Amino acid sequence: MTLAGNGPVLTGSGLDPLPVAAVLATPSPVVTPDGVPALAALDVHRSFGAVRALRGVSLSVARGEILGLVGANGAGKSTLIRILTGDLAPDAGEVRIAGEPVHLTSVRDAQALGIGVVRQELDLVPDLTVAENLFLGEEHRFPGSTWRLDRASMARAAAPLLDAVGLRLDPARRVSALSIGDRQLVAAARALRDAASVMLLDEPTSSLTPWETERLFTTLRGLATRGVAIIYISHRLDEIGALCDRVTVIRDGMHVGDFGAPAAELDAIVAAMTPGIGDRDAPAEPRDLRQRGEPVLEARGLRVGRHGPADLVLHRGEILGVFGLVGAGRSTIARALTGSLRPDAGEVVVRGEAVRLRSPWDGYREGVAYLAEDRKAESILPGLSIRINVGVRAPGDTARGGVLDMARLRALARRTIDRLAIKTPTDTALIEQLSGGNQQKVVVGRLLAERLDVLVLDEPTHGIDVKAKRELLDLLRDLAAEGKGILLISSELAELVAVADRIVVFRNGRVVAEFDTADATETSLVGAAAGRGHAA
Amino acid sequence: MTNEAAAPAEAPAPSVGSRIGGDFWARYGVLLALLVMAAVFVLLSDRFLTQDNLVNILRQSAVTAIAAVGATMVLIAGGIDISQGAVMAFAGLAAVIIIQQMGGPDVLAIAVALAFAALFGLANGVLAETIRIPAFIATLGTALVIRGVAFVYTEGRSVGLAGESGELLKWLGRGFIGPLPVPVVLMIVLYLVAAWVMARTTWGLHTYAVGSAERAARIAGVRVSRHRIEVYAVAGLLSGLAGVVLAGRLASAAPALATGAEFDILTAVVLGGTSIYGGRGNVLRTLLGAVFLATMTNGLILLNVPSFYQTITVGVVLLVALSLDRLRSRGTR
Repeated sequence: MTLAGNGPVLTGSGLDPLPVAAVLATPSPVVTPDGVPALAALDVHRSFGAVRALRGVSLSVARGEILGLVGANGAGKSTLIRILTGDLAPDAGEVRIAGEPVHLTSVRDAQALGIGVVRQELDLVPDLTVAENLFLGEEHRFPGSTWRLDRASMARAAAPLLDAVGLRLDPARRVSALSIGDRQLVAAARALRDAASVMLLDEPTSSLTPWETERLFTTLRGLATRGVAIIYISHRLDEIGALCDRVTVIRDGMHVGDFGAPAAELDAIVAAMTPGIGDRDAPAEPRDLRQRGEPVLEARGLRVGRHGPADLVLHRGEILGVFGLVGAGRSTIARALTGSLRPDAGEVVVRGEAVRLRSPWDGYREGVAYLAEDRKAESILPGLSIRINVGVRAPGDTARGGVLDMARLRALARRTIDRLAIKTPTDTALIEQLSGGNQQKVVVGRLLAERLDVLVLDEPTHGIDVKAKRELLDLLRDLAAEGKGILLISSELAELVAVADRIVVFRNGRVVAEFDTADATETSLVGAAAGRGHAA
Repeated sequence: MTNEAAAPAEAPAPSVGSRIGGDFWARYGVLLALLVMAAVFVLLSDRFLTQDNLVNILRQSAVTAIAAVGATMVLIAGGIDISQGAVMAFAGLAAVIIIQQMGGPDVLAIAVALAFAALFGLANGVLAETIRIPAFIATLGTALVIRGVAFVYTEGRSVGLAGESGELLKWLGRGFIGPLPVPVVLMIVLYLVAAWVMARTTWGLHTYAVGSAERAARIAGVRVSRHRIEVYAVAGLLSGLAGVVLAGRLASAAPALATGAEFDILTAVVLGGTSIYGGRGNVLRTLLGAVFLATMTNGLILLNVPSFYQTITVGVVLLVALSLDRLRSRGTR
């Protein structure tokens, strides 16, 4: 790619180049005159081992069009985006740019062909300036020089790019000094540098204020009128309705519908997103909610960063399901409830008394334990035995005055192995020698080890096989029957409906709906999570 | 949508062969290397395999080995302490100065020296854990300050124990209990206690846990920062003990005492199979590492290899041990 002089020509090979002048100045929409989509995916398949993430997804976006791409957690959106941006190759099917089949082998490839991405986690270098970020990897140099940066040229070239995204700021400012919203727009401007004729935005508004969101939308509409094709991925249906010309819904790795008038069809979109109930487990035997015990864990106006205020009550002997889409703040609030994050405001109430949990250690002392979602980073202790992984914090059960009672520690590990049917030859095996499902059982076993009566589990069945999942869910029910209170965060509706007594739905860090499981339908849950439907 | 789909649901367990292989070399590698090296020295020198020389090797390894107990704990906890040589010098000097220049009783002198050392360890812990300076840099900083103070106070001169003074201190460094030198007895007792602490107490268990996976340990209810600070304090205390023993053996101390000792210590620990990436290691095998180093030095001296070559040898051994550690960790990290 060449950037010459003051007016950098942004060339995208393989399709009609959209010179920056055209992107920035063409007033009238360049709607594909010949009906050829700017970017299309045709019957794309992709598996990871036994997991079939995509099984035949098609999608297309025309120049000047804003396409919404929606789907519940695990529907395959991220995989599809990775394929469209060259990060991943499809097993079958093809990607076409301006009608031409292409083989994208890297993100750089896709960029060269005019596909720009604005990701949720921004790819900007915070300690560099806006201009440096805009031209990272494509720096302007003085003619004839290999090393000397031509900052003046970059500053001049930055101006029209920033202008195109509606940013008025000094390109010499450091990115770290910008608000998240401004950074998002800088990222969009960088996508424009690569002559983006197609721009993908993956959950760009998850950390934006409403005002910033509105400004981003204005920018996107402006880019669309100038002929850029935009694929907009979001969980927030109100945004989809407000912004998109058309919506494609995928579910379980398949294309399940297109909606031409999103604003008017949001309910139908929710229905399309909602997974079928085919794999619904046998529903829990209806439990009489009046028989549940007293409250053991409460959040009162709990606020962490931009999440909250959250209010919820967990009772003894109850499994409270927590549903929500990614980014709804469920984990954040769960962490604040268990001492692994400090809340900015609000109260955590354990057994009726407000407590200040400064660390998970404090939580354990109150009988409250948290199981994190990220097994590798936050649950297992690699290099150590199953025995130690189970007994790491079980002083009451396995130690006296700081001295370990090896017999009891061994017995505890064996009991855990038996009760959770962990497949291992011995309790001294290293935890990383187990399969993922068995590792997860070991760390769940840690929670049985103590006299803990409040368990907060964050996606405990994540990434484990069906059988292990069943066994874990059965165990949770047994534990609840024994009188523990269990807060179960899960993105799998079938699982929540199968074991939870009640389900609360999170959105934007708040509880927006609460259902008795008997009354909950998939549609009502997904609807509430995505901002449609009504609190019960 | 998460990245979960990108990972296979079930990770394959490592093959039995690799498991045994990895374990075997981690467990017995140093011991085998030590035996092979000893065999070579026996063949090349008839002065190597004598009772005097073997006791001498143990005595030479004692000071490094005592400090290496603390270093092992720090590495297992996921930290590093390169202030150990400076702390040894300071503690040794403090004990000698209190006895010689201030006329304090031996017990008090030793107690004060150890208290200083523990305090320096605590400072290391606070800098690395509370202020969150990377441990290597934090302990480098304290090392400079500590040794610098020692130089300023002594004006760079060494201080000796004259005549009869400092009996207890000298006994710690030079005395015998039966056939064994006191430092060797001290070393053996210390290793037994440390091995017990690491294997049989919650403190030891938590040391492994915080080094293995800091975030996981925290969420599992371990007070990670506080625990590591304790580990640094213990390491400081043990460095102090090593320094006191060294001063006793020399019957003097100097601000330049034990310069670079931290690298011998680190070499012993890593030779013993303790990972510099935290979470794995074994105190008793550190003792083997220390004995290996002392044997190597001793053998090279018997063979009249100039001492500059010994420095090179130690460096090579350290790098080989670190490379093995890296290769071992690669499979699981």
